[in-house]
Amino acid sequence: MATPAAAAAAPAPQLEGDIKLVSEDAHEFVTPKNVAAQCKMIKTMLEVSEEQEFINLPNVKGKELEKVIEYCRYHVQADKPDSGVSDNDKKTWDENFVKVDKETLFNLIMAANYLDVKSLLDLTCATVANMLKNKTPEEIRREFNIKNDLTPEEEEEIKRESAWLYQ
Amino acid sequence: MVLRILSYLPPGSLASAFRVCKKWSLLYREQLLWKRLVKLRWGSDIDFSLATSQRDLYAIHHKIDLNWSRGKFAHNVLDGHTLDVHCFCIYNSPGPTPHQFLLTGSADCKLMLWDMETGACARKFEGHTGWITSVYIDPAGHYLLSGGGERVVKLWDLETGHCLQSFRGHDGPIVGVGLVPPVPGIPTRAFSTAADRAVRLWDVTTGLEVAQVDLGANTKCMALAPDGHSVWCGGLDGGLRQCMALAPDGHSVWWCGGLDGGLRQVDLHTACVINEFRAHHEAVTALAVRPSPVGPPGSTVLVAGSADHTLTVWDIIGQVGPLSTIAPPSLQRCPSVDAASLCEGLSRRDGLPSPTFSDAASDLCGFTGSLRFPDPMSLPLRGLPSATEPRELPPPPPLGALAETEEGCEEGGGGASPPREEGAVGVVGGREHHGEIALSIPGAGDRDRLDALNESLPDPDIPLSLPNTPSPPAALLSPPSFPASLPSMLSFPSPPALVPQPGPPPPPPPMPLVPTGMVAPTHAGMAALTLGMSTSPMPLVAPTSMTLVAPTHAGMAALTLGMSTSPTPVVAPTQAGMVAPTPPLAPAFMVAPTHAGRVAPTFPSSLVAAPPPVAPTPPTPTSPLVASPPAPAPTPPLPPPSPSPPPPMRLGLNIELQRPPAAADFHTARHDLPRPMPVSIGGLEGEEILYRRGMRCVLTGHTEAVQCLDFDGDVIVSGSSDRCLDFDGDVIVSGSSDRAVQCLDFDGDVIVSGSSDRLHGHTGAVNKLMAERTRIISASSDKTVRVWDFLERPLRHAVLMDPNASSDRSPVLSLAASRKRSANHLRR
Repeated sequence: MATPAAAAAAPAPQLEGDIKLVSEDAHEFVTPKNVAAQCKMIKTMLEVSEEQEFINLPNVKGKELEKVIEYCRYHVQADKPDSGVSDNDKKTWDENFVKVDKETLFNLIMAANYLDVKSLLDLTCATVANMLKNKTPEEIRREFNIKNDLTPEEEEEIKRESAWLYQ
Repeated sequence: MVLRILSYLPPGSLASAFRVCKKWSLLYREQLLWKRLVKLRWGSDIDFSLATSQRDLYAIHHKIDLNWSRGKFAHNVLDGHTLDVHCFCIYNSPGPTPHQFLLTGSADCKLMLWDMETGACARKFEGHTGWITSVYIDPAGHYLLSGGGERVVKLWDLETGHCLQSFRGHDGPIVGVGLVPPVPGIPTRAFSTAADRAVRLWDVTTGLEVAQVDLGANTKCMALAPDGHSVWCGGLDGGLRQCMALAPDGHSVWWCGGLDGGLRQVDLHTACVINEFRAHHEAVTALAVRPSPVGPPGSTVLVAGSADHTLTVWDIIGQVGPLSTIAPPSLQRCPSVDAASLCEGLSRRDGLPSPTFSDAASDLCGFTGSLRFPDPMSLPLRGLPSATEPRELPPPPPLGALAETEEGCEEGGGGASPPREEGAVGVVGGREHHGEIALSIPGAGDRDRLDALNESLPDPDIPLSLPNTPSPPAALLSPPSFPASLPSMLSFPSPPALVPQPGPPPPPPPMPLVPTGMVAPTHAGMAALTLGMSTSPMPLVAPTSMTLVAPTHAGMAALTLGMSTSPTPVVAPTQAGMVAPTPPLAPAFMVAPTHAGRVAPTFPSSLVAAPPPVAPTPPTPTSPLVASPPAPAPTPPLPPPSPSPPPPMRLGLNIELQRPPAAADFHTARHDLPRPMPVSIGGLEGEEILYRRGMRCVLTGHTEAVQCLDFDGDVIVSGSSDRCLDFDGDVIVSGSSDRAVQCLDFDGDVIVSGSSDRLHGHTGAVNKLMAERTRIISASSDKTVRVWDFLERPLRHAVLMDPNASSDRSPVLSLAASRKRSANHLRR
């Protein structure tokens, strides 16, 4: 995947320089430092040494890194007090942002967790939780391809114990 | 990661998820998951006392929420008294097996102690010869105090049931009793309020009166502050009063409400009223004080119920510190309304926070009330007798001083006459002795009052002038972008030259506006004021306005003045000496202090001229100290000077936008009330003064006088002689006359709409109430005490009513105003 044009072209207003982020599969993303700093992990690294020109992110693939940067860039802009972006707009944008296939979503969770972007982690986890909502255990297994390793007795027991939740 | 995802699930889906696979099923026992679930659903400040584990906690509160939303509860009736039950209190017996008791006092002259596990009567206390109106059990569980119609307060041994002491001296029925927390070296004291306008402090060992405070009006109710050291009293005058009891630090506070609608704060140490304000048109009959979920430590939320069928919710921020640090002794009494001497007086307050402000907004609504900080040094009492000299009674309260305060209040407030329905006269009332400033804006039709006022001024050309003593130059601004350049009413003379600013008297406001306001505290002792004002969507009975005087910690007066339609700019001098003007007639505006101590004006609409945020001098070509153009004739009634007035703002929304970052939040919702509501917001904050109050909202709905109320942080419950328990779900609920109810939570978000819900069952007036998250206890004139338990716990010995059959009217409604926290959760 090539460097997205937008990443290099749209410098944020409070530009303190750019940083090159290198994904696990060697994709390079040049982003403004204030966007990259939305990831707490990168922010910490930037604070440790300001001189570095690139950061290697061995646990994130290019595809997810691009999404994370997209998310960060949007929220850096939209969260500004004078951006004129309403909370509703942001919500809609977030909803569209997580309309991805399940694999990407899970990878995004991992990436958000690794890069320490709390709002993105909350967003993606809540999205997955939404998929689990109002489903039977069997439906959940099918949806997420989980093998049922509970014995019928164990399943009955947990069902009995958690019966109060069904009220 | 699975744990993180599951924590977003609602209960039903959660149960399914546990059955997916082994790994997931193990999460059922994972306390971390339940902790996250609880936190996401109810916040982190949830009461843990009922639960043994995080899962337990979740289960209990889940059940409570369900029952609240379904209107499901166990309705226990404690039947035993033979006449009206007037009062009760809860007592948790300490020990390895915590046991809860309920002590009730009745008109049958008996006190009964009920076991709250079983609902059985455990003990009776007999000895009173009159109806019992108030009871109190000390937290340690040794003593109980009771008082009633026979004007005697009795102290009982809780274990044996013997009467230990009788305190005689009151000249009217007792309305409230309490024990002052013990102080090392000083025997425990009891205090009581009665319908003889007095709060009395008693020595428990001798039974003698050690101090007496004249409240100036009769009291109907009294509420202990959360710290146990303070009491609020509500009076037949609709006022609330705070009294001081002897606390370990020597200064503690009570509030009590008066029959005159005012609230008063009394220092028992010096035996004088130190603070009072008017809360209602009619008698304050019920009062509850709880710690505030927002705001700095020590803040409380006070709810007052009144004979005018409404409830008001007040924020009491912080506490009054030791009085000696508030009022400097050197100030002289300044009886005249003289701006110059006011300046001078304030200038002598060397570095002391100016403890003055009057809620002119209340005044304008026909109330007269002001915050008062009398000088304790000038009063004869220096303290209560110590343990070694218990018989040496302090002299009676200095009536002269009290009378003066009363006078000062009247003067500052524009006359303590019966509630007026029109706006009040613009007044600068200066009592250096009490450190009062009262400002108010003339209402329409008050011309003659205004004229009279201006005649009383030393110079009719000086309608208002406020000192800004140690502050850098601050000035009066009139925004240039506003066409109607009516004269300014305020001036802040710079220190070297205390020249009053000439200016014609303010014109009466041409259009009624509903003022709303909020106080935004800052972190560094800066006074912060925020006023919101919005155009009224409905004709009001009277134009209202509000005035605030907020001193900063450096001792200077910062004034923000919002007024109806009069195009006077709002001027707020700050510590940095900056003045931020706000344009007149901005439908809503706020002056939000920033960390740097600057006043940053924020406006919700674009019609507002952008004021220079940094410039210490106004952008106007006209110098502020030069005479302003003469006042035009009273402006025509309706067209506002602003070219296009934006629609009325919803203040809650406003607040959301304007929230200062590191400060506690205060919200005042705008309501369409059938009559002017006493929106009074005052700010005092400094290194020494830690007190501020502001009204949050008015609750309506009852059709008879509110007799009692309580709230547990989420829900206000009020009982009335209309025999219903009224649930005002979520801390802030306001009802307009059309019965539509708006619920606001502490974030200012509107979350629920619906009407307030009621519990029917009592067949007599509800006299006393207690609200907890899990249950509500009510005592009534129908001789019963009822326990409405939302965990559906029946009391074995109590009569269990079928909730649906118990009502002689409609069945219990589903409690639409359900718990705030669950609503927050649903909103996610």
